Amino acid sequence: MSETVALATAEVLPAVQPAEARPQNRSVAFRFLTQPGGWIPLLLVLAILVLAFGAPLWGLQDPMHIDPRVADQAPSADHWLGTDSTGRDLWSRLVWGGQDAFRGAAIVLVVALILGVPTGLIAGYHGGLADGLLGWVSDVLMSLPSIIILLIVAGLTHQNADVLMAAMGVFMAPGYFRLTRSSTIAVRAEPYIDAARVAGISHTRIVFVHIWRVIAAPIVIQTAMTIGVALGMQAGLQILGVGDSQAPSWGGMMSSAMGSLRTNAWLIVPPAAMLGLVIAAFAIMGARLGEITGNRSEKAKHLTRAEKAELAGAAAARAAEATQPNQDLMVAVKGLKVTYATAKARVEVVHGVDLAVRKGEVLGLVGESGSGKSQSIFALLGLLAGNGYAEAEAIWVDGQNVLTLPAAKRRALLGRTIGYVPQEPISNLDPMYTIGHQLVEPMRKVLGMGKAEARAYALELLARVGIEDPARVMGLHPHEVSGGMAQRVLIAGAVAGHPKVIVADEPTTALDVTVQAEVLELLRELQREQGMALVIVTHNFGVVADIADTVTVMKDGLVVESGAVGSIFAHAADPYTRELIEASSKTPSRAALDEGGVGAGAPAKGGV
Amino acid sequence: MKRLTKAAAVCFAASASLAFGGCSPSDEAATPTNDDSGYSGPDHISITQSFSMNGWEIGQSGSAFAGTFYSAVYDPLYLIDGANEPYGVVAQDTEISEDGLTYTFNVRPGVVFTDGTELDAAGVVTNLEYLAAGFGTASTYAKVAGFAALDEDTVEMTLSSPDPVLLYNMGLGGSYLASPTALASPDYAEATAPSGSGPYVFDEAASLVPTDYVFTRNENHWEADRWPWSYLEIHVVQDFTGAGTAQNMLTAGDTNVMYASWRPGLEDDAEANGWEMVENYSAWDGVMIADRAGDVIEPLADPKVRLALNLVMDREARLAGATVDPGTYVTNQVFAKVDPDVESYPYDIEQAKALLAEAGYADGFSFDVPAGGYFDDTMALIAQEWAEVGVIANMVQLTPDVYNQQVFAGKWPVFAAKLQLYGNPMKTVQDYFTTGAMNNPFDSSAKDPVMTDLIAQFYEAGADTDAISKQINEHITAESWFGITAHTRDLYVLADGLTVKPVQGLYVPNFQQFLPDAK
Amino acid sequence: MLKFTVKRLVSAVALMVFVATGTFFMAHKAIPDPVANLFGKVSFTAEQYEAKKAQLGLDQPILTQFWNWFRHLLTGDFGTTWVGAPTPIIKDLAVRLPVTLSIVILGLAVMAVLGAILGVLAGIRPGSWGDRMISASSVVFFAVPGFLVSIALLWVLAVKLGWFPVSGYIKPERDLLGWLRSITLPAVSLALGGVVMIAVQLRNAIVTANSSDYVRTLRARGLPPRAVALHLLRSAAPAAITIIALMFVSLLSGAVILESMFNMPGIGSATKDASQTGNIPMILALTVVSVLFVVIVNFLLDLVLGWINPKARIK
Repeated sequence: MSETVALATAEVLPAVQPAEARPQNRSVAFRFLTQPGGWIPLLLVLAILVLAFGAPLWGLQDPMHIDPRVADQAPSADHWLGTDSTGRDLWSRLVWGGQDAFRGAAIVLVVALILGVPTGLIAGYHGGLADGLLGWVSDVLMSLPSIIILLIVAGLTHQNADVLMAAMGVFMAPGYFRLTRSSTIAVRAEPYIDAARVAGISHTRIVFVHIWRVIAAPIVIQTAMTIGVALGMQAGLQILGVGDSQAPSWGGMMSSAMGSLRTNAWLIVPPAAMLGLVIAAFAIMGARLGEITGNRSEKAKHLTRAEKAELAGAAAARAAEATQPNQDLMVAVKGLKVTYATAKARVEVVHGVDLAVRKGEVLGLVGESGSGKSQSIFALLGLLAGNGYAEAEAIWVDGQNVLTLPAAKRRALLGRTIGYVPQEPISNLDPMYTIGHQLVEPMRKVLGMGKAEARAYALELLARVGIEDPARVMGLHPHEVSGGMAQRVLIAGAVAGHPKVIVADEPTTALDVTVQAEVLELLRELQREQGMALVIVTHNFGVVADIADTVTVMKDGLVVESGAVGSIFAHAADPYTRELIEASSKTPSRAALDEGGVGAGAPAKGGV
Repeated sequence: MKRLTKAAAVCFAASASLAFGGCSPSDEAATPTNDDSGYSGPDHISITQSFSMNGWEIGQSGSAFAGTFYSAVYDPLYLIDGANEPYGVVAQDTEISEDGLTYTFNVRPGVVFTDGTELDAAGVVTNLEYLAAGFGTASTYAKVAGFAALDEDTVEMTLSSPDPVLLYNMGLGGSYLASPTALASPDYAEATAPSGSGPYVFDEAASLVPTDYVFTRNENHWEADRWPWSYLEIHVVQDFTGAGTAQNMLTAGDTNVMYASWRPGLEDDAEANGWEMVENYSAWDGVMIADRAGDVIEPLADPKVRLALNLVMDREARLAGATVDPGTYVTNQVFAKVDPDVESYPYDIEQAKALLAEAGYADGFSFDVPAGGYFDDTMALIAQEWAEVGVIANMVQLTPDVYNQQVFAGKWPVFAAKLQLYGNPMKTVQDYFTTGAMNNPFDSSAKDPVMTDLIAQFYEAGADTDAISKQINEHITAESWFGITAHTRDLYVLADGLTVKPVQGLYVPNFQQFLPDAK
Repeated sequence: MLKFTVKRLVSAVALMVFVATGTFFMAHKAIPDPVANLFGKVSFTAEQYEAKKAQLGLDQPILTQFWNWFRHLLTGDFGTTWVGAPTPIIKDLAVRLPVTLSIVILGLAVMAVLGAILGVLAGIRPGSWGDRMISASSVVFFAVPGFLVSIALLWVLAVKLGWFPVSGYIKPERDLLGWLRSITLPAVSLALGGVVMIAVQLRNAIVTANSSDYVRTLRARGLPPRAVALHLLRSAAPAAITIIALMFVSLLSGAVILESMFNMPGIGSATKDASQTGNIPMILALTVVSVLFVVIVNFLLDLVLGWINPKARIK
């Protein structure tokens, strides 16, 4: 139990990322208190705390008073929850027991915080030997079954509850340690910390001001979880017979109730229910806080299956009426709109776009970041992310309107009729499989090749895309090869099925300058060799000039201009197009800049 | 008919593997004559209880809980019968000299151990010497000076002073016999299997120590025909939630005997299932006011104070709860057979206060008592009652093992306990009032001239132990040596028509007590 | 892979040595006079005391005692129990271990299987009603201790309905069905907290993987959904396996309480008995065995993680 608390905040609840993790505490508290998941458990816990620690004030019966004449009675006016088997009032014992429970949890908390947070700070901030040593201690503590050690400690301390709780706190410390350490490491790596050091700010001030801001929220969340687990473990030990059996405590009450389970099963309900309620309340509070302060894509909405089916149906209906395009067009998109569903609303990112490429020709799709070009591509492929969907009059691929096709048939086009080359090479390969496996698997599953045949074909392809020693590369994992090599592999994969059209999404943007030209060249060769159509997305008109036949310019989700490359370059109609052309022609390549001895300070746009 | 054939088959197998002929066709004793005696019960006994045992080494068998286990696999020299008197099993024709210093008995023939050794007088002497030095059995033979084998089958025990309780103690578990050959081995103390001669044999393969013990018939036993069961089982079940498991096993037919405490509805269940319930008042509840001479707590030296402490205990009220055993017997006497001539203490707080004032403790006094054993509820209620007259007992938390060790070592002047009731008053006297006895941690008799005298009389040769016991009872009750609230009973729940003859003094019966013709 | 394995092995052994040593000295400090406790009710003379002390080896200096114990430990000899029948501890453990392992392994299996099913279902249908239920209830199930769950289950299923035995362990050799029934309630109680945790972890990992670049690229190659699912599972597996490793430790802790509650003669209830009777060699043996199990399980799971995820081998 305690071991897993260490994991709780770090892995279960969303992590707080330093750069954005500066929620104003006021708004966090506000948000927490206005949610039902926030104020209800808080109110409950506060009420129980007041009830327990105000016990002398409520005129309760003496929780220790034994009276065999009223033993094992059901709830009544005199005894609101009835009596136990020695005649003691259950309600009174329940209330007084709260003091014992919270007192124990408080001790656990204090010890865990004192041991865990400073050590986490030291380990995260200074690293090195301190980190290694402290980390090892933390691991040891987490791999010990704490109950066993605590039973031994109970004997050592002659059943002194406070010392036992302190020992439990030691076992809870790793949770805080790991939390503090990882937050500290993340903050430490931030550039503004280095800036602070350069400006002469002391370590202490850095810690107390910057790092504290970041770890405050996770610590609060961890505390909620720790309290819950501490209450549970304390009760567990009491059930095992540790501690004073006469003094009122929830665990002690459960322990004696267990012995009467058959004769008076009610006895176990009040303490068990109370304990469960309090633990659940703390857990819920912890979770809500975690949600509020976290900023992962938990917020992203996911379209349910029902919603997706509905949208697809509507799209199909609309598309059924579209007219056939020109026969020599490989791909023709009319009136494409792409929308994303977020938590708050639906946002349209592409507002009605037409695209077309002829068989065997190259279309350059140009635009800056945010123009919607990648979204249009994904819509064409049918690979939009989970909360996105496309609407269009028609999407024609090789004479078929894919919008009217059932999902399976549309999927069947991928890898056979359409090939895709992604932008970022390493992240587009599965890190857990070898390169060979990833190349070969679709060959066998999609193209229906046999094992040996596929392997031979893969080797052939790798060689064709310019990889030396293909056999060795087949056995490597993605993180073991360079970006350029990975991109070649991806290209090999894209052309493997002899597709009629390749869609390449900024295939060279993520590569080194020297490699870019090679990869482009490779694409052009393959395109010519196999007579494929090629749609190449780019933000660089230079690339367009190099290999495209036609070009379409996009801005803010709309097509700005479209036409043959030659005419666009000669006289672009739209000013934006002219701007883009200017920018790319005026930007020298890196190699040229180096020759001219120009450094980072040179302007990006305009003249040299 | 079936049984005979089966027994015959076993017989043949046995005779093939064992050297001696216990199964010759002419020996009718080898085949069970159960059918002839009209036995119609189950062919096995399967008991659930919550007591385990500490090993097969016979020197520990003084414990009141090991009897069931030992009685299956060992033959004892003596056992206790239903009238609470010792009777000879392996020891026959016992004679005691007039001066009570010499005991002679014959060793019955035909006692053979599982390792093949036959028992003779010399073997008995080996056993007795071992037992006299054994951890749990030494106290039985405390007054025995020596053992001798007079001839092949006669044994003589010579005492240094008379001991009327000797044979009783031997019968209570102090005279189980192991193979002398095994006893001689240096590893004997760690024995994992008994080398006994008893009516059953421990089946180690079928057992799961420490929870399940299985014993199979010993066809070569000298009394095999008396035992109708083909196997015996003991299941040790710690029932955390109150007789749940044990009763489930009984209902399911997995077992046919259950030792249980009373709980509401038990009689109804028994009736519904056709079970028989036999009760045995095995222990008393309350406190031992051990420091009667006031060595540690001065006020306790005054009998008025001790009486006052008893007068504030409302014994009848303790029966009021719905979950209290209605069979609990309210009394303040420590002897099992309650003497109607001896006064009971009334419930009288005013009188208690008056007595305390007379003794000079009108404002009360305080002292520590141990807690953390299994008697906290008992102690808490008594402490609450004493507090009403200003006597404060502070409960100090210990762990159960420390509790046990300390209270009997004389570290606590007053403590809550649940101690054995012995059907035979002699044993009660010895266990509670003689110097060095387990339940006499402060050696109170030695500090009380009346008791010293009575005890001395008790140990004279030819003493009327019953009369002396009665006098002792009167004295200690008048002097309030204890704070006993009641005698509590254990219940034996038996299915399939089994019966048992309980013995007060044994928490769990020996298997002999289940026999149809049990003594 | 080999270097990785060796490193893990060395670290595991170091941990064992450290724990064994620490526990030995702590236990001896906790129980200063075990000899007197062991005599219990029976009175003893000074000679008997000294004899028993020598028999148990307690008359020697503490460091000698430690070395003797450690030496024997290395050969797998845990010594003899001080309480009850004088059996070698290893024999007692051999009887008790299967009981605890039955519960813990069944618990782990329930946890892993149920957790995986729920996690995958939630992961491939994110945002659905089931997914939101699981996420919402996860924290509560995780924090509530196993014995509370077992009390609730016990009350309803065993006492009121009688479907399961209230307590007791039945050996599988004796009655297979009875054995399963007897270990079900304790195992399920232990597993419940972990089921939801695993489900959530798996769900998050699947959702993340689902929207990752390489999965999109695999789909672009035309890989059918079933083959893609395998990729998703493989990338989600490390998260689940990490949780399982952590839960094992907490399962062992939980077993201590549950075995006492359900009257099962496993190593958990032995721990409670041993600590209450001052049975030092037993306490030490139980601690060493428990930690050994944790270490073994973590080691194996580390290996599996390293095998599944080549990147992890570098760390």
